[in-house]
Amino acid sequence: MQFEFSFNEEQEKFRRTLRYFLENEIKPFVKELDKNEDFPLDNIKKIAQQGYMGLNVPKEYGGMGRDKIDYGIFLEELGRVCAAHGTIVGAHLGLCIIPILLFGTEEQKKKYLPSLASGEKLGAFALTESEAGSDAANIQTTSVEDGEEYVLNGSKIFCSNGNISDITIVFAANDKSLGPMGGISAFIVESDAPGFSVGKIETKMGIRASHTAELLFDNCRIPKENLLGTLGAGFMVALTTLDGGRVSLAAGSLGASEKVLEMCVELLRNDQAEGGNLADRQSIQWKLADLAMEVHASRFMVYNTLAEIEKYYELIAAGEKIPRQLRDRVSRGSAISKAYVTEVASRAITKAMEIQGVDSIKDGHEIERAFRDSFISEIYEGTNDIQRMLIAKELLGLGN
Amino acid sequence: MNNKTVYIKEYNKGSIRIELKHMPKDYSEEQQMIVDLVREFCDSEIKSIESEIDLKAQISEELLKKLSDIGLYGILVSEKYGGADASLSAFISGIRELAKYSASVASAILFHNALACKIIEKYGSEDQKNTLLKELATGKRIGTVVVGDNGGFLNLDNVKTDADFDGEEYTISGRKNVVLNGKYADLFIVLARIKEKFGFFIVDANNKGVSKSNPIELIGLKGNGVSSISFYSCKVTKNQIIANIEQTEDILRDITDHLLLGLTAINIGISEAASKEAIKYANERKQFAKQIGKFEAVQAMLANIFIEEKFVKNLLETTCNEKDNGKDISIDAMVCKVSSSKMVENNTKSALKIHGGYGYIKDYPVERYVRDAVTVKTLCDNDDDLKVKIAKKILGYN
Repeated sequence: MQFEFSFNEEQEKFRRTLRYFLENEIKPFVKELDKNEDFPLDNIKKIAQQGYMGLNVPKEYGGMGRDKIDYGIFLEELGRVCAAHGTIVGAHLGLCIIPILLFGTEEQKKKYLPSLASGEKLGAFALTESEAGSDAANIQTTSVEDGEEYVLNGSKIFCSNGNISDITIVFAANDKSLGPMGGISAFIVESDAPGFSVGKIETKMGIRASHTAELLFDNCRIPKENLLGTLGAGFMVALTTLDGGRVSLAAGSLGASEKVLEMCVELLRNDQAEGGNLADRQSIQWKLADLAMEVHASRFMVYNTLAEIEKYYELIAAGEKIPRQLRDRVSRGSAISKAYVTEVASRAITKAMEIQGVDSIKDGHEIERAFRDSFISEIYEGTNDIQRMLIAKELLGLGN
Repeated sequence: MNNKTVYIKEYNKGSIRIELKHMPKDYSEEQQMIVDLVREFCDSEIKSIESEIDLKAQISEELLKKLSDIGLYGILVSEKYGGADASLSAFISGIRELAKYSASVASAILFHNALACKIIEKYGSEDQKNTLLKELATGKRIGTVVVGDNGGFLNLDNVKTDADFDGEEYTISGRKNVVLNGKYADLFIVLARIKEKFGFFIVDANNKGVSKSNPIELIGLKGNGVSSISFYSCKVTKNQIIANIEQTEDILRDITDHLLLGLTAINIGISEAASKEAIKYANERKQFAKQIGKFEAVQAMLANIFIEEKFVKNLLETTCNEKDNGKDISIDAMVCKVSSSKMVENNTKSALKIHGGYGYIKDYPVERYVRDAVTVKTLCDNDDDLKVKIAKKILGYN
């Protein structure tokens, strides 16, 4: 049978172990971390001790060697507990480790993956600039070859983990005249590189335990062997990485939606047990049903797309030439999942607030935090308007 | 509309001077005067501390004093008791203007003026008016009204707060969990159950049977000082009941209109503030070598904001005029509130999205507008309950 729309026993076991760990070791701290905007170093350490900071890294480089479905399960479970942790770990696993795995040389993989996989080092991904947000190709940071080094100049903004990370994938224009394809390169930048510094740390509406930093490059010198992929292939590195990143982000939103659905069911059952009439009201029942429908659809969408990404990344890692058609189809699927599932989460949380009333808007309530957290999912890794643009252009063959 | 006076504030090199300026001839002129007054005041006194009110989760003593100095506490009260005797239309326009700067301040004024003052003026005894109302209208005291035990004005079934009469005085016991203005109010007008009926009681915050909680930390409207109030064998005299118990329903209907219209004005104000920011940003921000306002998708969002805002603004204005003219607007007021909830929710979210990542950081005000909007929506009666009321009316049910 071709379509296996269910998790196998091993995957279910992985989920149970994870859920137990996250509920007991991480969840008790998230309320305070959010309130104080504290980066959860201790929690990340605990996550690392379980091996999850190397979840998607092959065993030969010290990781768990798990596939995309497990990765989705991990982010979905994290999404149930705390979106900020999801962002931190997603940037590390999905945006820093993945491009090294897909485009790195054997030397780069050997040098960087083991310490990232063990969690000894934290990763980040720096693409966005003040003038290159939705227009990601409009990168102003430059890279110039100088002897055995590349010299980077410019700045990045909104970089998740940027102030904490040890290893950051940085995109810079090697030749603006060549345009994005050919004119942008990716670099592995270590945080102790000369000329690298951290600028402003943002104060945000949500995902407050995840830090968002400005990165400054002032004649920042990078050894030549830290070019990731070939010179000028950086934009493709970014787009390919984001294809996977967007679905995993959707997995986090799926977790958040499921969690609020469960919380609503629990509240209504309790209310009923105490003689309340909320569960009998159709306005409430309909909201709950809408929520359940959208969560149901989201789950299939996320895991279906993850399965596609798995095959797609295998081809890339094997060095195969990827047909344009396949690339476009995967990008579209990823964009569809990201836009749809993140919006489902926003609607779900809004409905949950309507069902739960005043308690759910009190500071520190899980739904209150989920509400503040939810907006970023519709914005980062390409706003949902950019996703719509991608989807429509791909359908119409309009190119980029 | 004769004999109407409006306070106009003028700034002389930063010093505040209040004077009686002139008598407006009609609603629109009066409305405009109040809007101008509020805008001028807010530009000089609130604009620079808008986000501080949110971050510190309070309105400073200083600002409370200034609000009283310009006469905002008594706009709706008649001159006789120290107010400005404005029409509801004019007052509501002022609330809307205020909410563009701070929904927390606007809601504080709404609960004090359109609810607490209004109840006493319309239904209170001459004694209550001469003492309490005068103090409220001039800002010597701050008042608020509390109906449902969990907030809201519509659902009386769940009111457990009760008042027991022993022939001499009433003893109020219970707890009101959601009290707007709770932090600032020193006078509560509280609905309590008296056997099968209900009464409104004027309760002094200093009454030793009253216990105020610390303000409840909410996602938004942080400056309003929403608190919970407990009544432990709280003794009040029979002079502290408002009107008689038979009139409670009328009072409730009246102030519910005011509440719903006021909340609608706040929603519109928040939306207008958000759309102003979104328009500004769309004009400034360039991506793909042009202003993002030149993209049709952004234009569609801005047009939708404009359309929804315009619709609700007109609806509110019409409804306020009808209320001023003595018409029964109870259903229309509900329509205002429900449509404005949806409107402000959509519009603030769109404004945030237009800002992209910048909308998510505290350097820009749009994230606060989103939080304030969802708080207004959740704190008072929920829209589903209002829809049931509207539907029953349409269907001819009781």
